Amino acid sequence: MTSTASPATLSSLVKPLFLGQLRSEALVPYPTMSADDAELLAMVQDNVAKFAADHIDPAAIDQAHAIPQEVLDGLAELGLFGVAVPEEYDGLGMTNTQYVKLCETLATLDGAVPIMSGGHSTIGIKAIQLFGTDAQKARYMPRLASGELKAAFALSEAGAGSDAQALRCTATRDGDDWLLNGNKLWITNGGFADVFTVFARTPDEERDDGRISITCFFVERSAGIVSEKEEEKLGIRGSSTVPLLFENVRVPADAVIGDVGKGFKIAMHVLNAGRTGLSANCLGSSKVLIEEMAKYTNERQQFGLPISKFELIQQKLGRCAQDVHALECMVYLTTGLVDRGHKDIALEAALCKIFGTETLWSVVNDAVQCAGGNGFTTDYPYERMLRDARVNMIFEGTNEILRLMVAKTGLGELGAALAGSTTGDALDKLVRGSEAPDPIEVPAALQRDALGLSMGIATLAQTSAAALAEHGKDVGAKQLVMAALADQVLALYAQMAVLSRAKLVVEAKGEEGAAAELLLARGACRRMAARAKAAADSLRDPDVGLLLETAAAVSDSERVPTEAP
Amino acid sequence: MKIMVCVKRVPATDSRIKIAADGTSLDTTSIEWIVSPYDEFALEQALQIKDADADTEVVIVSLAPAAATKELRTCLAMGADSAIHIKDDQANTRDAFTTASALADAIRDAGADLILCGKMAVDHDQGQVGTLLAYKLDLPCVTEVRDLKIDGNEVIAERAGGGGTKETYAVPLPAVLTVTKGDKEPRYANLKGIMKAKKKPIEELEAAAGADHMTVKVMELPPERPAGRIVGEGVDAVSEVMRLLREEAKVL
Repeated sequence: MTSTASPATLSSLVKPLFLGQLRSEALVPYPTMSADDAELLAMVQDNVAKFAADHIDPAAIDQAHAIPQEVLDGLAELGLFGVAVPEEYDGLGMTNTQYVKLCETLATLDGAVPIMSGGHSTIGIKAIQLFGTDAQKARYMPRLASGELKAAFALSEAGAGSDAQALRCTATRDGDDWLLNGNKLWITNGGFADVFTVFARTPDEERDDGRISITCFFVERSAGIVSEKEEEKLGIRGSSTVPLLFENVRVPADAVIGDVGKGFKIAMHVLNAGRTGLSANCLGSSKVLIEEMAKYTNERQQFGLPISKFELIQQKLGRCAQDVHALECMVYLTTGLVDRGHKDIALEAALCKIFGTETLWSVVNDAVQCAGGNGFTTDYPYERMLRDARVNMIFEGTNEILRLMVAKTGLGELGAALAGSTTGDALDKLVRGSEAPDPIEVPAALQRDALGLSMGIATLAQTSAAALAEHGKDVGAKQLVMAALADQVLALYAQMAVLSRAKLVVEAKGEEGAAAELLLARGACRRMAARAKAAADSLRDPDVGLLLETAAAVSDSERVPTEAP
Repeated sequence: MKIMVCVKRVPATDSRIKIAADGTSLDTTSIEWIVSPYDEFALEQALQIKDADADTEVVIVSLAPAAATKELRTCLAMGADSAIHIKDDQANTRDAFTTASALADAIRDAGADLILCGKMAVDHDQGQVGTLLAYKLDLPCVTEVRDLKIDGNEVIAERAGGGGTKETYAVPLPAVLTVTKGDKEPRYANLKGIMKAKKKPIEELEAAAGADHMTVKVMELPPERPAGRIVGEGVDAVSEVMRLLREEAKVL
């Protein structure tokens, strides 16, 4: 296995799953906040909610296609822009769990505000905060904390979306300075931000070995960055999303964040670490929708009964709650790991992002359905929330790219472990089926589910090994295989999180006191186990060939290639 | 000038109220707690005096369960200097007399030039504690004050009298005022305030185990509201609606 500098207990929980290993010691106990941390968080949440009740009108923001300046000013006065900034730079220095829980709260209040806040705190200020020099931080962080400066993260370009290495924006040396040229696209907060974390190719630094050089710059708008017209969007209309234009934008040498040529690593680090915030946005919105659904279906009467008495509505309420429960367990397991010092959480955060965004999409779809015709009108919040939810599956790494990233990293671990093994037939042995890891210790009511998790992990290891054995180094191009592995891991990580949390709650409250937790935990585990199994089964789907052949026919003719007789 | 502001932790006003199994108290398991809004009006009055005169000290005093420090910290984050937490896990079911006695003991020990309370806590809505506190401390009391200012050794207190009149009182200090909503909107606790609040002192006192003078016998939820009625359409319905508003709803 690849060795890391950090102690073994602080390494990834997800990666070993590909090897059929379950690291219980890092999973248990489920992380919780200290009483002081919880109190501070509650104070901030209360104040933000109070401010929102007085000043934030989601429907008005959606219609105006902007967050009003007085709301931005009020949020700055409140201190929202400094929650993630360390205390030494006049911020609140929230832990990762506190910050992500605040993201969840923001998402219950509006669609655009959490995007704006995340554009600043999750990604806009992160590169300078983590990789900046003391001088750079002293110069900017206090003003970023107060909201005097608002930040944006500028990576995407027209030709560099999922493929971030394809950047065309360049930075060239001019004496001691740099000149930035090119265009950026889809820049959140780009319309009003004062400072930008910009990633540009530095071609002068590239050698002949074909590897490109990307460098990270922290650039003030006043250096000459031009924001173009706001995009007209399907949802999160109140958030600012603009293209940026750089024409010989001159920045000094000390605008470089980290080392010249190390920008790609910085970009990936910031994005990898930030995905829990986005998943918490989805969690907050999903909870609001479930509350709305529950109220609506209790009040709405048909055939003489509230429609919540009908099984087809109950099916929706139950599934949504089980998924949201699993999501919550996953998100705060992941943030808890970060707060315990785990550095290697890229996979865990990616899984939270995939599951969070897709859970919200299915919850909002069910909520619209439960509300019937009302769900389709602007008199109710559902249609706005549906529009707002859609982008989550696209930005901060499309769910497709993230699935590939998870599977690729996992198979890389497996490959590396096998390469280091002394027995030549290690892969064959794994393909024939590996032993299930010892189940985690859980209360009696969950033992069946803990066993199911272990079986699922064994299946993942077996199918991963089979994929490697069959496709070898080309497995990365087998995207359906990769996605099926990622979907198994997602469902397994969810079960791990649910079981770990349920164990903690049962130990604190007893089985009776934890009745609701156990109900949701069992339901969520069964649902996730079924999901893992379906993903594994899809690897043996004999009809994939038909599907891909049909896709090729559509691509050739650019239409459905049949005629009605 | 030392101003003591009495605050109470109450269920958030949008909480879904449930009666506990004992039938005499609230089920508090899923309740969000807040500082009672009238107490926030009182605190805002105190903080504005402090804004104008930096020598002013604002001290929060609260009878509250041991775990309930969030509300005290929130008051400190808004700008109060320190807090006295009289710990009592039964604080929310104590009767007004017992509550006022506990507050009076703490205030007597700490000393104060002006004591402000909300006009009532928005849980039981009794509005007794302020006046009982004045009685216990043997101090003058003005209730339902909309605005106030300090003038030398007096507090000038403005309140709505009967018939829409405005009454302005001059009261020698020390005094007890109960505060209602006026023009001064309570400020938000901002990040800087929250940071500072982390370091501000909260003095902890054990509540003297005084017995309540009365007990709640039964607590019941209001009856479900009857469904709305359509009494007719257009102009024809006006006289019927007027009659119902007069005779049934009795709002005209």
